[in-house]
Amino acid sequence: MPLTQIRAFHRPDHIEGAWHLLQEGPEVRLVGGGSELAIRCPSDVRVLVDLAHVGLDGIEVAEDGSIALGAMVTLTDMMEHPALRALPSGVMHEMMVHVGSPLLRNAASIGGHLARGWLSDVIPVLLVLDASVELFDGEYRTVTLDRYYQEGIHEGLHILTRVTIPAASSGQAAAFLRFSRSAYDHALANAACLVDIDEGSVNTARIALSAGFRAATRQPASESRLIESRLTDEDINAAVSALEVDAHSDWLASAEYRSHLARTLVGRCLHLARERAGGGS
Amino acid sequence: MIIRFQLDGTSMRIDVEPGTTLLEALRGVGATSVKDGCSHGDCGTCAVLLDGRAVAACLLFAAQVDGSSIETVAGMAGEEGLHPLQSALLDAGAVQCGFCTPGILLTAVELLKNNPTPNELEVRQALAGNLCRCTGYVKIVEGVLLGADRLAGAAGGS
Repeated sequence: MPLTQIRAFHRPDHIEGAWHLLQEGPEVRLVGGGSELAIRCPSDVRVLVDLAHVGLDGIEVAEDGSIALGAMVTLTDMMEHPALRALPSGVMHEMMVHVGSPLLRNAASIGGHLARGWLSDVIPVLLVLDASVELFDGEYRTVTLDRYYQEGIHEGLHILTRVTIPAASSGQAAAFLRFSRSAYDHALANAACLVDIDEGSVNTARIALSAGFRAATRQPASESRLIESRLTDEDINAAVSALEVDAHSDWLASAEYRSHLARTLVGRCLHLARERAGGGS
Repeated sequence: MIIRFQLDGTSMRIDVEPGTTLLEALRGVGATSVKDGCSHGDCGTCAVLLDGRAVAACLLFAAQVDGSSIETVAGMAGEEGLHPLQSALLDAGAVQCGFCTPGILLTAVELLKNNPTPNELEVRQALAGNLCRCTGYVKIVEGVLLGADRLAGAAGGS
């Protein structure tokens, strides 16, 4: 049945027009790729605003190697773009093959996916790549993806317009792992890590994990355990011990189970990243 | 609201409610090869090619495709008969009840356009969003690989 509650579908051709419409009230909702709104549209939504024509669909690689993704770039575009495939250890592609199916990835936009902010395999990978997001709320501002979720900015009124991934260095290695009850299901827990190893010593370490519906979080206490370490088994165990896992129970899994999964996945990610960086087992 | 699009090469101009999905709109104009399986983006029976990309029509609003080109399985066969991929699925025994077949064919068309010589794993990954309750997928995968061989042979011979 059509969503008969919807009174209007707008297709603005500039971001200010979309913002003007969005400010009209809580009954207005943005349409990104449209992979979810048609089936989970809140009952109070009356007006849809399509962002397809406001010029947010490009991928640009800057001279410094950073990559800027317009919010309407699809997840398939992200899988296929050479610059994104070349990110450390091919981690973007490694993760993206697990996100839904080609039918979903062909429609889902990165902006819509991040603005949703839950049940995401993409978020932990972007967190360890140190991504930032550009927002428009009358004017443009940029915040790190970490702040976007940690400070609840994603729940405020705004239009996510761009995602920027800083240039990677040649010494970086990364990994992503997830666990779900079936290949096509949402992950019960997932984890990503990135390490930069110089002459055997870790000079950058980023870890992100999710153990439930909420967006993944960075793990600064664990990351600090790895800085200037040789990334030995003992160093990895210490980092895993320092994880702060925000897990919750639901009908799919208990918090204890999710927490155990997340810790295991982080440990395996770090071992994998070490191996990819050319380190010993 | 009025939307315009190409449907299997035919210009369409239809009036839809703002909350109408693409699936509802297509079936409403008689494009019933686009199947309504789950209506939740899980089964892939409503797959169509939107500007060459396979998408689940149940997840898109019709208004989103204004100005676009839609291809369905009904447009695959030419004057000379079935598309080689259609023939390959038939020859491989990949069609039982047939409900999932239109979506699988369109998803496979996109796969072979981007990757004309896929291996089995790539075919399985491409079809991850197309559910079949009859075949167990073995024959479907064989059919797509057979279709790829035939298309590659036809391209090589031309």
